[in-house]
Amino acid sequence: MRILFTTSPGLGHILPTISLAHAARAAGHDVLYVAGGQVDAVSAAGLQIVDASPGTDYAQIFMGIGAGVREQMAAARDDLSRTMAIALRMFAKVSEPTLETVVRVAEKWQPDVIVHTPMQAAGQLAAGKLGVPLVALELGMGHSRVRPDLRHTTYEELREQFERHGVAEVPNPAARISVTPPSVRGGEELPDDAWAMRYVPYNGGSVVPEWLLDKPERRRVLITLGTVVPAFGLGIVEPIVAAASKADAEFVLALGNVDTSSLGELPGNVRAVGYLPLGVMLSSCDAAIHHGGAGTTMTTVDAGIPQIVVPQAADQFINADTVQANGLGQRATVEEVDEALIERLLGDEQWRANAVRLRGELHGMPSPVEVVERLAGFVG
Amino acid sequence: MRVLVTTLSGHGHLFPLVTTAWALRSAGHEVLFATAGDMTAVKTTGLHSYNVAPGLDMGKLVGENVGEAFRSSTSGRGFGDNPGGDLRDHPAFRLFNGLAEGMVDGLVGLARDWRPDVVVYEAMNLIGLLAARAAGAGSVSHAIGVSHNKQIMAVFGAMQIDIFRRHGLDELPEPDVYLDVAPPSMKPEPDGWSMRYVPYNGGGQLPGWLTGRPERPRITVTLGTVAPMMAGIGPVERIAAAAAKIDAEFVVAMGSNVDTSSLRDLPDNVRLVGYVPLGPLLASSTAVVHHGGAGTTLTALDAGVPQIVVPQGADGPVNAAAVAAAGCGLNVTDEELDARLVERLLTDGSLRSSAARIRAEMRAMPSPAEVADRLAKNFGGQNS
Repeated sequence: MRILFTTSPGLGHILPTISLAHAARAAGHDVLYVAGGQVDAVSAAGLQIVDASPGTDYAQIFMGIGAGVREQMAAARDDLSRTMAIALRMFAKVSEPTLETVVRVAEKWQPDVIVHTPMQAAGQLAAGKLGVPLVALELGMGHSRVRPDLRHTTYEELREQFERHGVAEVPNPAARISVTPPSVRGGEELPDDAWAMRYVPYNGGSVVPEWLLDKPERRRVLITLGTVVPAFGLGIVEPIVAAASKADAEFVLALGNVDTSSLGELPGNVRAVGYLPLGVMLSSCDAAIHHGGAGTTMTTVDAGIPQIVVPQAADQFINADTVQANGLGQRATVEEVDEALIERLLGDEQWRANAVRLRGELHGMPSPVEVVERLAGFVG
Repeated sequence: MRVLVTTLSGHGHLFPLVTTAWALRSAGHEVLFATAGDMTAVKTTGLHSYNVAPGLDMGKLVGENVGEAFRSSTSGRGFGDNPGGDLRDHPAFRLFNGLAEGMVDGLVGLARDWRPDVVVYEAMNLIGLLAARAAGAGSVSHAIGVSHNKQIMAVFGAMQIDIFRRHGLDELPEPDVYLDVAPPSMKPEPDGWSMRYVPYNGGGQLPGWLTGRPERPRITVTLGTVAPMMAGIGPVERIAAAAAKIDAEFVVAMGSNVDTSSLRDLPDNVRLVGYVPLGPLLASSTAVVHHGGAGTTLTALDAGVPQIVVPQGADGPVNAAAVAAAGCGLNVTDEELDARLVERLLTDGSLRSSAARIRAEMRAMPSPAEVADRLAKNFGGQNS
């Protein structure tokens, strides 16, 4: 079977697809990525990619999206349907530079199935043109709670390109892969076209430093803001670090390969590290404080530890609410993260028990290997 | 379950275990890849790795010994050439014994700390058995070559026996499982469990010319990741000289660190490229000329294209002989390599049909995903 992967350009969209791609290779299928942006992340995962938009400055595209849209996103923050609709409009512009190359590569490479992340319209265009099954991979849990049909939104934004390629309507996915554990679904049955898949964290390979294999002497908390938020300034970290300095624990400040000198001298119990894959770091931690990115949230669920989530943008508010609603921890503003909340994070037995239980549930879901077997069904 | 995978760090040793490691990871198991020396290649597998000999000057150890060791099999000092002689005199001894000595303490220490449920080791990296013993873990010997077998691996074992004696063992223990990648036609009696070799040749950005169908038949020419440094690029020079007479296009894939200055005035139908992952390159090729490296040979068999194998050293002669015996390629010396032989790659129907048959055989073998499942049932216990 030949599987073509196409994603939106950021790491938060690319990384959650890698475990499925590795599983496909492990079953002996052919895998190719075609996407723009952080293409090196795919190469660094040992996979092959064609750059769908060489030279495109995605930061500029995001910045260029008007203040009006940003206000709308801020206003819609807790409403999944509205957030998705606005996001799709935004991401239509992000998808645009990749459309022609994705279609052309798909026509040359002749995949049996196309896997895309939900905001990457090129997946829908290529699948529509080739007439091959489209599979959507959801990035975070709870994202399937509400599933409005927003295909018309995508078509409106990209009508010219869809018409030029003779694709009359945006295809429905043949399957939607959902990483939402059963209890987070509220025990609801998945619709027939939704396939449950265990989220197996992939946050990059690494050479593991020895200190991560040692059992820490104190309770250890990880602080991270994912791969996008730190670029907008580290001001929001300051209250968290201040609270950490008073807590009876050690903290790992994992902001990626970002210059943390603006934070001044860090307290004695706070250690800043460069980029390390989140899952590896969490395996030595008792709890995490993070921004609520989809991948970060899922990796923390996989680690089975309680969470404080300080959402800033995008789907982070929704992910934060999901964490709180399922008793895994609490959504908070940065200012609300104080010594007392950190102590609760480390001591709340209910949160910890729920986190361990949900990890067990996650691990019991069909693995990417099993989902690949289902994909093979498309090829008969 | 926790799986410790361990190989030497050279591409030819490391690459063949990557798909297996991916199979285990994407089934949800924890995987740590232990090696030493240059960690560049393992970092871009997307796996978590551990350097078991960070302080050691691996480059020096390899550099002083590898040339003679590599060429020994084509200069009359192959493993089978002098069975009565003392192994310690063999050019390969200092290299492989030295690497094992350099890695063993760190590897055993890691196994004690990390406590894997099973250790998967490339077949010649036998210190994996000591790591398994230290952790009370299962042990899996993972073949990296289609013609490698227990007899050949026993020679590596003999090279490392002093290390085992230091750990209180007079002889090498048997691993719990052998994984054999040879297809049935090439080895009717596999050593242990059969597993399909699914190529891993490194990630990368594919150049535009690689994704479509070429206009003329494409012949890939490669000498792998080691031979050019050890034995020069003679076969490639011969191909370049003959290419203009042949109605095909040639892609000469030489990797990133090779001196290709002798390849001047290449004809129009010869394209010289740096490192391109071999699997995708062969997917668009009609035939391949190569040096008989284990991974290259397996990738060529998986691609199902006829082969010319021009062994340069190491296990080249053994793999070349296996390909020729299977009827899907020609085993030739540098001097024999000429336009007439290359033409045969394009016209010889029996080479092509044998290649297609072996490819189909390989694809029917249990995939790494299936083998990972079997390993979990054997070694996972309550922790899978």
